[in-house]
Amino acid sequence: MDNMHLSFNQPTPEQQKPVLERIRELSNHPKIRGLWLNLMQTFIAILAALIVGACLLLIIGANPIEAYGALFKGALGSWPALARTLRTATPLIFTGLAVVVAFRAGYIFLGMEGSLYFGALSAALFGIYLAPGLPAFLHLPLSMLAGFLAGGLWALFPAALRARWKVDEVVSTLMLNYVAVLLVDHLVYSFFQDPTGGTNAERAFTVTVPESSRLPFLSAKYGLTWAILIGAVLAVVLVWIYSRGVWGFESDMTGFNRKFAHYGGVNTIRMAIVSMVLAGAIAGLGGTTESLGNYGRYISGFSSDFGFSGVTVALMGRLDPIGTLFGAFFFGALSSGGAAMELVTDIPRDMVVVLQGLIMLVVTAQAFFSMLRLSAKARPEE
Amino acid sequence: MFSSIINADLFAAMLRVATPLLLVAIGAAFTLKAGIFNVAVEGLMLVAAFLAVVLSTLLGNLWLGILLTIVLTTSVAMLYGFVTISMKADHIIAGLGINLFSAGMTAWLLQSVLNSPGGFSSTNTPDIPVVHVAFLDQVPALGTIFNGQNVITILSWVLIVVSYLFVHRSKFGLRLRATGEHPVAATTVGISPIQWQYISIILCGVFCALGGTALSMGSINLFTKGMTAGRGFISFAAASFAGGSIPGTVIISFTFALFSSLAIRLGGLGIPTRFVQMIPYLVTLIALIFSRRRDRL
Repeated sequence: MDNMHLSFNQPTPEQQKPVLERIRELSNHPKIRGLWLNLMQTFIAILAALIVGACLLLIIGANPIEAYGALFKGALGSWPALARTLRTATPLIFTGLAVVVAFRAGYIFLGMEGSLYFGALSAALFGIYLAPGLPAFLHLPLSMLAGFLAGGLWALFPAALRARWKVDEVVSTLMLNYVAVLLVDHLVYSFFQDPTGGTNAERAFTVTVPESSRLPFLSAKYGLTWAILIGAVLAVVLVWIYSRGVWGFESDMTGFNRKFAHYGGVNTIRMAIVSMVLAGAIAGLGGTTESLGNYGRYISGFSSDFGFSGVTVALMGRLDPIGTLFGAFFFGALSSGGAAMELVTDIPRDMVVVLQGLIMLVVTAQAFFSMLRLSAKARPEE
Repeated sequence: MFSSIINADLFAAMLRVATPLLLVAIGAAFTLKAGIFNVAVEGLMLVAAFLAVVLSTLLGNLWLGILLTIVLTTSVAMLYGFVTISMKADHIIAGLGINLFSAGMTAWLLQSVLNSPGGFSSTNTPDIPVVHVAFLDQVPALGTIFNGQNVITILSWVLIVVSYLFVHRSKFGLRLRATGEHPVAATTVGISPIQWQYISIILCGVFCALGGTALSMGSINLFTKGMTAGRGFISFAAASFAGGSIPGTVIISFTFALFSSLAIRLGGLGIPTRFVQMIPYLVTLIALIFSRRRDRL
């Protein structure tokens, strides 16, 4: 009894340690340290890109401070600007998460753009032509499902080639993206063109989808739809799959070492197909929310390179679903800020694409991070 | 109808279409032999296509323009090399980075410096000279096919032979191939893989510079935003099917060019334009399926 009383009052050895020491111990915890390294690597990649971008601005004869100021103000400077940033980020959430699913399993699937187009068109066509009399609570989910499945179906082609015949998915998906965009546009021009638009119109677009399959706006004024919430929920679901699910574990294992996973009992052929088809389906859902949400129809050329931007977004998020949400937000800010910058200054928004390229160059540069002592491998003492 | 499609003009067109593909594919083959999965050739080709037209117009001198194009394109290639070789970045991700950088940079310069967003052409652009051999006109088909080809096309044929000798028949090529096939073994016999990877990147930069020049200045002097449209990827695929072997790369590039120029002619037969545009990508895909090379696996 007395003993117990003593131990209750006396500080434990843990509490006796100075605060700094405890923080250091905490920071050496693998999870915290991993998070810190990931954050710093992304931060450094962005910083490096901004510095090189500033040098390029100076060479071309523009004022970097003015340019970045206009970009920042246009991205986050006001509530409308923030809303535009979120709107721009929305499709990138989906393509980014698609990249996460494929890349984590070790497949460099780059077919997001193609699946995005097929998803957008299929959802719009389902909404317009199939069961237009359905009530909204059925019609909208079914139309979205159509887009989800169409995106996956298009990805099944490179996935099956990869899994069954070991055809490299990088080149096949790059080629299929061009095919998909041309094919979808051809279908719309030939069969589904809005008659009021005319067959010689500059852009292919369908008629508008009925209200019952329209994805509602959160704020019609800023073009924000429910899509952004669907994307966020999807990210949370993926977090759960990767931290608790067997499939998520098997996927990470395959990405880490495919042979090891194979000998460990993972069906790697099925893993290749499922991860790439799921990636395509998620990208397809991204197209769906664009056509059923913001535009209310399929419009050709609606994607301003959302597919490759998804790669940037996912890598900035270090292939973590929640990280990807932040990546999409950051990149949405960059894009919408870039558009605003173009209006205020003379610098075209293509400057943002240059920054994106620079980020991609640095973001996987392991030796660079080792030099900055920002890599797990760089600290042999641990 | 058949002879209106397959005739000497078709082969003349094929040779013109083949030049940019061929040069970039050989460039990609060098890096592939050194073990670099170089999808950055798409961006390098775009940069070169832009620089060739713009620089030769602004400088008023074709050769000076091409020389500067080679220097600057190789610098961009060196950036890719530095990031992948010394900084150990992922080849594909960094390659996509170079492609985005190139797309953004060319579009930015078009708008900010040249004030012509969308594309650049000028009546002041010097033409690449064409070669005309008088005695070939005496021979029925050969005259149509080979006469009137430009200097870069002729140069590309010379470079085929030179690169073949370099990669497959010289001790330098042996070192290059050793670097890609077994870097550790190469190191043990005193070859520096890093050095040879950089050499392959420089060669790739030079070849992409010439390929891009052939693309924008081969027939009409014009650069349009994003004008490579996947041609770099197709060239990369050609090198990849052949496993980086020069003869294979060359044969596949010519085959792709043949299909591309066939496709242009099929447009006249009522086949929808978008299907015609699809043909190069589909041919690449089919070749990919049947190729026995599995490099990145």
